[in-house]
Amino acid sequence: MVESTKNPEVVTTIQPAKLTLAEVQERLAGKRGKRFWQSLDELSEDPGFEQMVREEFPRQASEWTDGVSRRSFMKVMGASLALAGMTGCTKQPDEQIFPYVKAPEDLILGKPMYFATAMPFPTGAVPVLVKTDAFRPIKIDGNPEHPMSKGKTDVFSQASLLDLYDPDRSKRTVKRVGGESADSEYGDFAVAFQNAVKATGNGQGLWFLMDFNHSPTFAAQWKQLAAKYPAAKIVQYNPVYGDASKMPAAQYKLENADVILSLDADFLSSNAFPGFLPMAAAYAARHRYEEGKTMNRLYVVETMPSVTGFKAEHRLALKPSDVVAFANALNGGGAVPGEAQKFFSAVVADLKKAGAKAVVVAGPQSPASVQAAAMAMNTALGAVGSTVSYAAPAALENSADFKQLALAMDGGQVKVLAILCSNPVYSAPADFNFGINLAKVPFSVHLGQHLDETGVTASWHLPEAHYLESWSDTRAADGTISIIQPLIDPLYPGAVSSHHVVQVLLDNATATPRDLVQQTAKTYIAGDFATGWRKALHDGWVEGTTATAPAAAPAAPAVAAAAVPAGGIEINFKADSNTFDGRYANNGWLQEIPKQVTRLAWDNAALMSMETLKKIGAEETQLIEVTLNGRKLVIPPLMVAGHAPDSITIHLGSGRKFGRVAWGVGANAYELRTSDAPNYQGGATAKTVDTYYDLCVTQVHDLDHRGKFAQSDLEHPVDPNGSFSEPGHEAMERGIIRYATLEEFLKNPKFANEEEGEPENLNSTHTAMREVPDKETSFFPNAWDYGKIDKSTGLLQNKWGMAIDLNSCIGCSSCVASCYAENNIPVVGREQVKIGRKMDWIRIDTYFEGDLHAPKAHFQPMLCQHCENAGCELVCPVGATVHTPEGLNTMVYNRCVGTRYCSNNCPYKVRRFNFLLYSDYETESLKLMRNPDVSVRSRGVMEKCTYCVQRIQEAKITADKEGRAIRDGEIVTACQQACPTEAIIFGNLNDPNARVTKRKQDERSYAVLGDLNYRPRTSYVAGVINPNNELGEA
Amino acid sequence: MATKPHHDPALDPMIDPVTGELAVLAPGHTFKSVTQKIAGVVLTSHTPLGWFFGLIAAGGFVVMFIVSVTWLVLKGVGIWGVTMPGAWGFAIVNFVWWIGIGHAGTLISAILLLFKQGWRNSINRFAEAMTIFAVVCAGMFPVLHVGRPWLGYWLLPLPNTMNVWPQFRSPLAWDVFAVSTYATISVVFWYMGMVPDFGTLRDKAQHPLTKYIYGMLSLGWRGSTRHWMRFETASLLLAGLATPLVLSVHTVISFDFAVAALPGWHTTIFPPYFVAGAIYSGFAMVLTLAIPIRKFYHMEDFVTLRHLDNMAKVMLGTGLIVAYGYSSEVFFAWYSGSHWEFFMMWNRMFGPIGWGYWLLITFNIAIPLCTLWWRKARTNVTYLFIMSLIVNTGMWFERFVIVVTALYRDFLPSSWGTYKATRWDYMIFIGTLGLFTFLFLLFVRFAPMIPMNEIKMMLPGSAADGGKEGKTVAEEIA
Repeated sequence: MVESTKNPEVVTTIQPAKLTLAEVQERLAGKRGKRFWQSLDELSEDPGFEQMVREEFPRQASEWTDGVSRRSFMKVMGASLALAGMTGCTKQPDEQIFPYVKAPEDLILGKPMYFATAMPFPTGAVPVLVKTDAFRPIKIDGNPEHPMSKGKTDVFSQASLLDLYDPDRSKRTVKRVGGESADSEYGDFAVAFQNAVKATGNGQGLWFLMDFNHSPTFAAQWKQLAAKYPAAKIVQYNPVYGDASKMPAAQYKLENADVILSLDADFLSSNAFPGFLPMAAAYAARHRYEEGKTMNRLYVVETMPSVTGFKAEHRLALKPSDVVAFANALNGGGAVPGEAQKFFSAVVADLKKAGAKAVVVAGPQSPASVQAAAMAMNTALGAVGSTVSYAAPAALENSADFKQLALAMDGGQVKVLAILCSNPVYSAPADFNFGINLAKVPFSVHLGQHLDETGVTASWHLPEAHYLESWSDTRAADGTISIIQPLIDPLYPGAVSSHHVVQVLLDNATATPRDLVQQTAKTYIAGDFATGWRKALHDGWVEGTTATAPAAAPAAPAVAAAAVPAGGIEINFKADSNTFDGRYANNGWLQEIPKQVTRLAWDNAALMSMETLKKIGAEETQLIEVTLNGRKLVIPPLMVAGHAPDSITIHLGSGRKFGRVAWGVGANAYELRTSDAPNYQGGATAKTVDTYYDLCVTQVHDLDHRGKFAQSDLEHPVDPNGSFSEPGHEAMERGIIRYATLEEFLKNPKFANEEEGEPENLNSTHTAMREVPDKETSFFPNAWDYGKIDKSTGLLQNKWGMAIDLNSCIGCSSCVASCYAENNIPVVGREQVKIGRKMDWIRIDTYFEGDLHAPKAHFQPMLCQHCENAGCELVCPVGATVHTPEGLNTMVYNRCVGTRYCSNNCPYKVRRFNFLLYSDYETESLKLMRNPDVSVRSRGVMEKCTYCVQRIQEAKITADKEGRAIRDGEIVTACQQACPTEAIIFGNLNDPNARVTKRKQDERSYAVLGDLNYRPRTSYVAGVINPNNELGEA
Repeated sequence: MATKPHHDPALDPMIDPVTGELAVLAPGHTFKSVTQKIAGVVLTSHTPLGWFFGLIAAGGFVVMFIVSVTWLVLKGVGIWGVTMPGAWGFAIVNFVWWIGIGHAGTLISAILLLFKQGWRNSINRFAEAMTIFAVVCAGMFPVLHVGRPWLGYWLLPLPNTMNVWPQFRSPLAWDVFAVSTYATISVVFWYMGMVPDFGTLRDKAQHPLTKYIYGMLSLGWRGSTRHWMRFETASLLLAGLATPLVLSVHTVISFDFAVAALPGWHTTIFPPYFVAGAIYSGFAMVLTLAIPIRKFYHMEDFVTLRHLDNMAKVMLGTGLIVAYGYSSEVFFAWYSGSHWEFFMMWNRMFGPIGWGYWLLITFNIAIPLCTLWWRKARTNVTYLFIMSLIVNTGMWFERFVIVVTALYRDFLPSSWGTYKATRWDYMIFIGTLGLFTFLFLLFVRFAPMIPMNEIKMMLPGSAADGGKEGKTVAEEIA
C-alpha cells in the first residue's frame, strides 16, 4: 500500500538498462508501419537496447502513480515487450499476409470453433468449453455437457483467458548464479536438474513444492519418481487452504437441503469453495419460490460479510474465535457467546426439525475443529448420504507438510527444491522465512507463469505453459476426470508444464505430456481407447470417473477445541474474491471488477465494523498500522456493514511485487500470517498512521469522505429504524429493490407491484414510485408496437427482452467477468475507477438495508435495460444511439461524437464513456484475445451493453439459413451463460412459450424505475425470503 | 424614472435641470469634443501603458488556454473532471454562462433600441462587443466538450452521400442553430453599427495605412442623408431580428436541460428563468467592463451614473425573476408530490455539494436584491463593480448547481458519485476569461468603443435635437 506512493523498487538483480523507455520511444517516434519494423532491426543492434528489452521491470515503473501517464507507460511497455519477443527468441520476418494455400481442416475463417478442456484449480478443475477464432482462444465458458458444472463458470475461470494473454507472462528460462541472472534454455536446465538430483542419490534432500494438483497423470509420474528416488518428498500446499492433507473432502448436495447452516463457508462466492458450481445452482434452484415446493432456508455464521451471508435469511456476525466457539457448541462442547444464544437455539431447533434434510457446511479453510463440528452435526442429523457425503482425502506417496519442508530448509537439508506452479516467497507463512531459506537451497527451480517473487529468487526459473497451451488431465470437485487439451501453441516458446519437470527425472525423460496423459488415460477410459480418447476430448470429461459417495461416512475426527486466543483484535485471513491467493493479481479484469460485498476495486483493505474503526480512531481515508505478534502491516481501513466486532478481515492476494497490473496494489496480508494460525489470530493491535489514501470503492458509497458520510448517517439516522446510509435508504424508497418474506408473499402475491402502506417519514410522503404509466395514455401508443410480421420471413418479429431473478442472484460477479471477455471491455486502472470511469457493461449493485450492525444486503445485476421509450435515443444529436425493430437499443460507435447527453438522460447510468483512450491498441498479446465480432472502442465514444447483439445476429443468420424461427434458448448472452444460478434469462418476448416470457409473467416481476415510463425491456423478479419466525424478519 | 434628486441639482452638472434625473450625457459636449474624445482612443499614437500590461496579462491566459486545449484534443476529455454519473461539467457550465452573458449586449442594442431607450446609445457598442466575444468563448465549449471534437461538424445538417442527418429531436441539435444564428446576427449588427464611426476614423486618421484600413472597414460610408436613412432602417430591421433571439437563444439552451428526464433539469420554468438569468448576468458583465473602462479612458461624460443606475435597475428586475424561478423550483419540488423532485431539491440544498446552492442564493439573491433597491447603492460605482462581480460568480454557480447537482445523485443510488474539477477544467475556464479580456482590449484599442454617431445625435444641434431625447434621424425624416 505504502509502496504505491513510492517508486517501486526493482526486484530483479539485473543491472538497470542503459537505455530507457523514453529514449526508445523517442527513437521510434514518428516511425510507423513497415519502417517501424525496419527501424527496430536497427535499434536491436544497439547493445543498450538489447539490455533494455531483457530487463523485466523497466525503470519507468514509477509512472504508475499517475493515472494518465500510466496508460502511456503501458503503451510503451506493450511496444517494448513486442520487441522483447523479437530479440529474445526468433527473429521475426517482415509481416506479410498469406491466405491459406491448404487450409486446416474444419477451419472457416470468421467461424469460431469450440473445444472442451478444463481449468485446473486447487479446489478441483472447472470444466470449460473454449471458443477459438482462427485457433486463438477468445472466450472461456462452462462445458454444458459436464455433469457437474452444467455449463456454468465462476469469475476465475472467465478471467483465466486474460492470464493466457497477460503481457507480463514469463517468456524465458532464467538461470541465476551468484546473484547474476542470465537467459538460458530448457535443455540446459534439464541437464543441470538431472545432475543435481542424481547427486542426491536416493533422493535425500529432493523436495517438490506445489499447489494442489488433481492430475492423475501427475500422480502416476510422481509414483514413478517416488519409486526411483524413495527419499524424495512432495508438499502440496495452497496458501488459502494449507496442506492438501488437511483439505476436507466433503460433497454437498444442496438440492436435498431444506435448512442450511454455513459456518464461515462462503459457498456462493466462487470456485474458492470446492464444489461451488453445483452448490450455487442447487441453492438457487431450491431458493426460487415455486408453488408446492419447500423453499430452503440459509443460516450463516461468519466474520466478514460475504455474498453467502447476505443471501442468508439469518446471518450472525461473530469474530473468528466466536465462530469456532459456536461450532464447538454445535458439537456439544462449550457455550456459545452470549448474544448468539438466541440464534444458536433457533438454528439448532430448525436443523433438528429438518433432520436429514438439513446440512451444516464448513469452510474449506476453517479450523479443523469447525470441520469436525460440522461433520459431527451432519452425522447426528442423519444428513450424511442425503445432503452431504464425505470421502477420505487421497494423498500422494511420500507426502509431507509444508512445515516439514520449512524446517528442512532452515536446517540446510534441502539440496534440490522444485517449486511447481506456486509462489511461496510471496505466500508462505511469515514465520517460515521462505525467501531467505530458499537462497540457502543449492539448487532450486521455479516453474511459474510469471517471473514473480519466487522466480527471481530461485536458481532456475522456467516459464510455465498456460492450461490452454498444454496437455494434462485433472479432476473436477466431484471427481470427474477431464483431459486438458491445448488450444494454442505456447505463446512463448520454451514454456513447459509440471509434467515436463518431473519427467526429466524419470527413465523416459523426453516423453511429451501428451504421451503421458494418453498413457494414464488408458487406466480410466473404459472400452476402445481410440474411441474413448476422442470422446473424452470431445465431451470434455471421461464417463464413469465421477466419484461415488462412500457407503459409510468416515468417522468424524476427534479434534481438541482450539484455544481461544486472548484479547485484542482478531485478524481474519480470507482468500480474495477476485485475486484469490494472489495468482490473479496481475489480471486486470479481476482487479477492476469490484470485489464482492465491499465493491472495492483494486487494492485490499483492513475490513472492519464501524465500532472497530471508531475504536482505532481512524477514518476510512487514513492508513492504519496493524501489529500482530510483532509483525506490522500498513493498510487502509474500510468499514463494512455487518462485520463482526473486534476483528479485522484482511484479504490475501494483494501487495505483490511484480507485474504491470499487480505491482503496488494493496497490502500483503501474508506478511502477518503465520503457520500456527493461518485462519485467524487474536491479540493484534492497530493504530493510525499519518498517511492518507483513497480506496476505490465503486458503488453505493463512492463519495468523498465516505467514512464521515456513513458515520454521520449512523449518528443521524435518516430512518427511525436506523437505515444504513442514504443510498440504501433511497433504494428501498424508490422501489429499486423489492422483496417480501414467504409469509407476506403468500398473503399478497402482488406485493412487488403495489404501493406500500402509509409512509412514515417526510421523505416518503411522496408516492407513486411503483406506478408504471399506462401505455394507452401516451401520445404515441403505437410507438411500442412490436407485434408486426416480418415481411422477409413471414414470421412474427422478434422482441428481445431479459428477466433477472433477484432471488437467484448471488452477487458472484461471474457475469461481469464474462461480459469483459465477450465484449472487449478495456481495463482503465485504479485512478480512473476511483473517479467513476470504470467501463463495466454489467455491474452488481449492492444495497444495504437496515441496521448498520446487522444489515441485509441485496444484489442487483444492472445493465442496459434496452428501454422501448429510451431517453438516450431522444437526446443524441447525431443519432448514434438508435432503436432496432426488434427493440434493441443500439450504439453506433462510428457515429458517436461523444456529447455524453445520452448518459445524462439514462436513469440506470449503464452507459460507459471512453474518456481517454482506454482500449489497448499496442500490446501485441492482447490483440489475439479480442473477440473479432465486437468492435474495440476508441477514445471519445460512448458504449454500453448490447444484449450481446453479435450473438443475436449469429443466431439469426443460422436460423435464416435453416429457414426457421430462432428457438428459445438459442441465444444466450454472455452474462446469462456465465451465471451459475440461472438468475439471468434472455429471449424473445413475442414467443409465449419462451422462458423469459414466462418469467416476465410472474406476478413478482417488476421494472426498475418503471414510473419513468422508459419502458425497460429488462425486468426483475422480486425476491422472496424464507425467514425463521422465531428469529423475526432478519 | 422621476425620482427626486437627493441633492441640489444646481450644484451638480450631471443632474438634468429639467427632469431632475441623472444626465445621460455630460453637458458642454460638441460634435468635435465627442469625436476627439472617442476617436482619440483609437487614433492616438500614445497607447496607454496600462493597455499593454493588460494585453500581456490577458495574452498569458490565452497561451494557457491554447496549451490546455491542445492537451485536451491530444488526450481526450478524460483530463477533465467529468465522469459517470456527472458526464457534463465545467464545459457545459461555462458554455451556458458565457452565452448568458452575451444576452445583455443584444438586449441593449436591440430591445432597448426598439423601446427608444436613448440612454443605451453610449453603452451599446461595447455591450455588443461583449456579446460577440462571449459567444466566441461560449461557442468553443460545445465542440471542446465532445469526445471527438474533430467530428463536431456532424451536428450540422450537411448533405452527404450516406444520407445521415442530425437527430433533430435532440436539443443539442437545436443549440447548433440557436447559437450560430445568434452569433451571425450579433456580428452583423455590431459591425454595421460601427460603419459610420469607421468613416469618422478614416477621415480623422493621419497615417495612410490607418486611413486605408478604416477606409476598407467603413465600406465607402460618406455620411449622406441617404446613407443615414438606410443605416437607420437597417438598424431597426436588425434590431427586429435580434429581439426574438434575446428570448430564444437561452430558451433553446435551457431545453438542453428541460428536455432530459432528470429531476432538477426536467422543469418547464427553465426557459423564462434562463432568459432572465442570462440578462441578469449579462448586465452584471456590462457593469464589470464599463466601470473600469469608463475610469481608465475617462469616459465618465458618456457613461454616466445614469447608465449605471439604469443597468442596476434592469438587474434588479431580472434578478427578481430569477429569484421567482428559484422559489418556484423549490415550491414545485414539494407540491408536485414527486419523490424524485423532492429528493433532488433536498440533495441540492443539503447534499454534499449543498454549499454551491447556498452560495448562489447568497450571491444572486441575498446580496444584490437586498441592496439594489437603494439609489445610493445603484449610483455607488465601487459598490456596483463589486456587486457585478458577485452576480457573475453567482450566476456561474447557478449553472454549476443545475448541471452538477442534478447529475451526481440521480435515480439509482448505486451510481451516485461526485464531481471534482481538475486543473485542466480551471485552466480552460480561466483561459476563456483571458481570451475574452484579450479580445476586448483589442476592441477598445482598435474600434470606437462608444458609438460617436449615436452620441452626437443626442447633442444640441444634431438632427435629432429639438425632438424628444433619443429620437433618431430616420424618425425625424419620417
